[in-house]
Amino acid sequence: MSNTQPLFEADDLWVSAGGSEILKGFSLTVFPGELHVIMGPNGSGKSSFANAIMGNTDYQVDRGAIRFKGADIGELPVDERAKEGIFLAFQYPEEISGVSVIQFLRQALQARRGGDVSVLEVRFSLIEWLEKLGLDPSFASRHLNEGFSGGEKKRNEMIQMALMEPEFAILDETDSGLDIDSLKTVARSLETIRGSRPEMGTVLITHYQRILDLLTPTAVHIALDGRIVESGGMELAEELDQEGYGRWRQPSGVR
Amino acid sequence: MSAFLEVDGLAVEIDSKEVLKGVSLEVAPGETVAIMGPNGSGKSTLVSTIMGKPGYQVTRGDIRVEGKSVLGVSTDERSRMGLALISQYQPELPGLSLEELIELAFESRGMEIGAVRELVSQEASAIGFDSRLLTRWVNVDLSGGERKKLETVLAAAIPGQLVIGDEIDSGLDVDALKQVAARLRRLRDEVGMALLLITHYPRLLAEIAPDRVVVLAGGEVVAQGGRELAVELERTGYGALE
Repeated sequence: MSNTQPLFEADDLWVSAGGSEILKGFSLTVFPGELHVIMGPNGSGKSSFANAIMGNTDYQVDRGAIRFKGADIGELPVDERAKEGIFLAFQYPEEISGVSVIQFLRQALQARRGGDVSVLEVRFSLIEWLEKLGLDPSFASRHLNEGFSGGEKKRNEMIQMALMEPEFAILDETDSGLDIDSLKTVARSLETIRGSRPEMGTVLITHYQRILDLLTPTAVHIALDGRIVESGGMELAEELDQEGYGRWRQPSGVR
Repeated sequence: MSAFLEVDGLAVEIDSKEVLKGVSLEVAPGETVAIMGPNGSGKSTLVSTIMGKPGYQVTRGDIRVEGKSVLGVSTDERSRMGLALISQYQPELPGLSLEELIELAFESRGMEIGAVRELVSQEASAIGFDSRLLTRWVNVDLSGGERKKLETVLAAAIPGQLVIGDEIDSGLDVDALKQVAARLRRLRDEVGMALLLITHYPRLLAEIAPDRVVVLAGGEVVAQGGRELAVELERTGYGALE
């Protein structure tokens, strides 16, 4: 697929938050249809990368570029990036009492499409996707994440992702805190969504090899101290699962 | 050996919905018990109720610490009775430094702050934090995994008798998991602390070697066994138990 234009590029990205440099030359290129996995120790900058790409204003881009379909999006506000089709599934989804899943999805869909979307339309596509992903139909009438278990919150993120029809999705530790059955559900959901959107690019941030066994990643990247220090295949995930990050930590003596 | 914590036929409602339907569980001093179970099975509800979180209505059964019922006892009093919780999600507390938090938490227990600060400092550096941690705002700019490590530091500094960990391993990288597990193991082996650990990952249990594994599903205990149960669940999933 390398003859096509990259869908997404982070090009030598330097990002600071709260006055300290968190990303230090982070580069990643994703072509349409690809699934890239980022693994790395806690505090290596994985979530900061996701936040910076989404345009969270707590994160300031000091150097480098974020390009989406060739255009620099580094200056766009969050809602514009979402409208472009960039989606972030959060590590810790927030509970929002009083807002039903349906209302939330309708608002989000309207923002994404830039026009009015009827409640009925949202309900139909929600029911369709709940069925496709094998999730409980009662989801639709509940309040957003209120009283949801950890696993339900993550499954809800997958539903949002399916409905938003993103072109580029970042999943930040979607598998953390999932039981083995929910993990399979989420992995299967991701594969189903990717199947229905073959041009979508995906970046999955994870600590665990076990979700990767259920997916077919294009590449696995090791992040350390704010940048990617090695890229390869599944063998990298297997290695760190067995050995930890020692080999990558030592040469530069970071942290 | 008599139990330190006894959960006896506990039924709990949240917003009039029954989440726990008669759960019984004991943890002896120095014992390590793991709780596993599907998302939504009531694991977090169980530990929240044990700690006395408001909004959790006990409709049947009892919770006893060293033989005394703690129903109706406030959370801070339960903490003084020796219960400590490492919760699943740690919020950012902008404006409150760790130093100030420690002062608030430990002064009320009549402990000498200088010594506690020194202890927290040592614990923090042993697990890989730098010395600025104490003066920084609690959890602000810490990654999810780093927050879990910080909770472990605090649990090690508080002289509890039972540390309850609600998914302390979720979101921890493989190296941090080893560090956290090693610290908890030492609390158990050197201080005789009991551990009640909710987890989804056999990896943590391989590091800590629990005495028993209890499986919750649909608000009830559906299986109990040794560590091999965790390995089996990883292979078969929970479907077979439901």
